Amino acid sequence: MITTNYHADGICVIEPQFDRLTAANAEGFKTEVLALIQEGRTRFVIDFAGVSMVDSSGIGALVGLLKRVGNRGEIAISALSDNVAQIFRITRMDRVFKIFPDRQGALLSMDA
Amino acid sequence: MLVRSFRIAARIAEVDPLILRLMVVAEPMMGADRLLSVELAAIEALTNVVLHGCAGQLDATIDVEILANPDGLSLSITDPGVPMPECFFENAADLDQIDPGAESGRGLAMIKACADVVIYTRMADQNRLTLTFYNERPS
Repeated sequence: MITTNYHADGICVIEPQFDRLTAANAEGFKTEVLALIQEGRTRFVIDFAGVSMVDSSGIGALVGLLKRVGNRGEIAISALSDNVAQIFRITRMDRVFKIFPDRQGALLSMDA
Repeated sequence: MLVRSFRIAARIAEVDPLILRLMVVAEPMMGADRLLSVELAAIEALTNVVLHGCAGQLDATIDVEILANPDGLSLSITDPGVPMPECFFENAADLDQIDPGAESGRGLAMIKACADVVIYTRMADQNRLTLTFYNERPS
């Protein structure tokens, strides 16, 4: 469901391997990322390039992950499509998550 | 005017494929700036029916109709599940009122935010949720 690659300083870049994060797969997505957190990973960039839809279940999964990371780390979101960016605005998630136009911008922000 | 009707089993795996078929029908009927609202409200409504209304009803089916209106479209979702409490939609929180840290509970608020008119009725043993979307949102 996801692929991961690891950047300098242990930042984990997560690439969802689906184009829709909805009730059908949100729990599975969350479970896979939780496993990374349980391994000790605390800094993530979730690259949404290729994801065209996120519903409330997907939003809930992302919030749950952010809460699990807590103060120990951070989660940045990158490459939202126009539609998904709109969904983040509608649900006020643009005030909850750090959002970047692309992966590189997210990584640079976290490296700073 | 009825444009298309669909029937799916009340299973979560059926929702996304139906949504994609719905949007193919809806696309010529709505402006591009309103299509996301249609899609999002439909996903949330159908997911709600499957996970809550029809939970445990293994053989339940959900009927979805797209109806053309002079200034937009309506989606009508009919299911045999547990009815919602009276005024459930009217009393549902708006998105501004939902704790940003909440991991659930946004679905109804998202429906209300996306649809211009939300009508829920119970007739015989069927629930019917009708969502209306205008091309020009009332100010």
